[in-house]
Amino acid sequence: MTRAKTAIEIDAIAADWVARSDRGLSPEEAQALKAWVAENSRHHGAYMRALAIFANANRARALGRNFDPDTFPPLRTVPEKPPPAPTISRRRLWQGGIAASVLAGVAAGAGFLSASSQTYATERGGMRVVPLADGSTISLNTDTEIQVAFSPRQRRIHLVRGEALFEVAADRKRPFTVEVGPLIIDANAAAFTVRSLAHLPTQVTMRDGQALVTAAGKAPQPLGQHRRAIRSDDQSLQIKTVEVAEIERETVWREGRIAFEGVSLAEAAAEFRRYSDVKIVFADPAISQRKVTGLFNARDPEGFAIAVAASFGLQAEKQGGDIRLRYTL
Amino acid sequence: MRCRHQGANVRTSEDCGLWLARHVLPHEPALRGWLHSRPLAGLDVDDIIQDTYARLISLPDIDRISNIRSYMFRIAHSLIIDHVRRSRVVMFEDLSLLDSFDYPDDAASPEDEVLGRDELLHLGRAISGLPGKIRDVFIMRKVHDISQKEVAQSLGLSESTVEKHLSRGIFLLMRGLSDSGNADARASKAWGLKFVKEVTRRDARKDRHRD
Repeated sequence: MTRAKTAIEIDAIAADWVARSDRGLSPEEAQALKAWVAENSRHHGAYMRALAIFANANRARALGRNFDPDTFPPLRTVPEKPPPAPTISRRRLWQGGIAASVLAGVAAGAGFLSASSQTYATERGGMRVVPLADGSTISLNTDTEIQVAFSPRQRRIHLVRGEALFEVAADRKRPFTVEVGPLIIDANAAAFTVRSLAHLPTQVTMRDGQALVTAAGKAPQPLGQHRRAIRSDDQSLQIKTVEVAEIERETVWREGRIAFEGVSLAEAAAEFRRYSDVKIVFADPAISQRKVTGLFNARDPEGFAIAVAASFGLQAEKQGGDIRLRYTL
Repeated sequence: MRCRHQGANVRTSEDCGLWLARHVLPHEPALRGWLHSRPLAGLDVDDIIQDTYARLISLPDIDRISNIRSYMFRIAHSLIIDHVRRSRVVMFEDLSLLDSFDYPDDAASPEDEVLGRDELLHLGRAISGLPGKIRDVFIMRKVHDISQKEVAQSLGLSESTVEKHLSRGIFLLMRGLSDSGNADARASKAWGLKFVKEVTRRDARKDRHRD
């Protein structure tokens, strides 16, 4: 009898199978893979884990065409400093949903502290997944900041700015609450995105499950699956249905991409600006009104401009740090 | 994207891989950290992790589990208990495991930071840290999204060599994640690297023979 394989040896074989699957399996190989996986539960576990790690690596596309492993990380990215363990002075008191940081030191010392809050953020061009102990995960898009305060009684998140996808695990005893400006979202076992960008109305979009959305001073409103709440200027909530395809399009940022469906180049340029310091500018306002559709790398405005120029018969040129789209002379 | 059973077949689809990447992978470092902090009755953390994935993926309604993270911890815990029950000699310290399940319930554990740091920075670093040709192949396949066949053409390598390099890259990323949540894992990493070097050397010899 042969000796049982170690976990590392099984991992190595699992990696072989994933690499083979990636180039396409012959019918015989597909049978062999099936047999190998069925032979031992650890084979199955290792193979699926390898597949997950390989799928996760798709996010590397977001590193862009100019990714250079020798000089990585580029200077502009987030400095790697482990977030400090929450000390008393960093803790914040969540009182009626407001982070009363001024009071924190005093309150903590006096033992009133019900929860400590931790801040997670991304810089422009960053992306981050924050797993939480309750089983929820929060994915942060570019230039986003959240504060997380968990206590035995409640799960509170403050979206300070940016865009995040909340995948909320069920916990009947502890409601999950997201605050964004004057909006409060209560959910349990749901998935939704919240967007809070400067100069744009805040919006909440339900992917799965449902939530209660409350605007300051207003009655709570239920928000069902595939529905979107938009806070208009007069503070009231506008609720409308969103196509599943649109919801999917709006979350491709998790794979480092941007998807457009018939949006103007001006809007597309604004979207790219969220991810990079490079601006896309237009020599003529008429150019900016052309409509574009497609899937692009969020961190590659240059690649986008080149693709757009090619399909509209325009010229893309560098102008300082920016990219200018103009008519071909 | 869903991960459903396809009849009597075992689940191996790429959709399930993506599902695991989104819902399970982020919690793996915390689970490893937890496992490293308790007696495992002679089991290896890597063994438990493989079995945890196997159990999870065999569940009929995997994408209906409302709290994947606590489910992962529970599976891991029950694996240890099964192991203790099956063992004929039970260590005294292991007995306490049978009735204690101290699921950590903070907002986020330090291990969560392993994946919680900027995702792209983390991935970029992990890929940059791959050795030589493995790195080149991995970057072309995953950053530039070029098929294995085209990678082979553009690097002037045989397709089977590209496939092997890619496999080693996947393996090293798997080992990298295995080291999360544990400071003592360096030994296993060194082992893994040695393993890869040996296998890569062996492959290179075989390729030379073939050519």
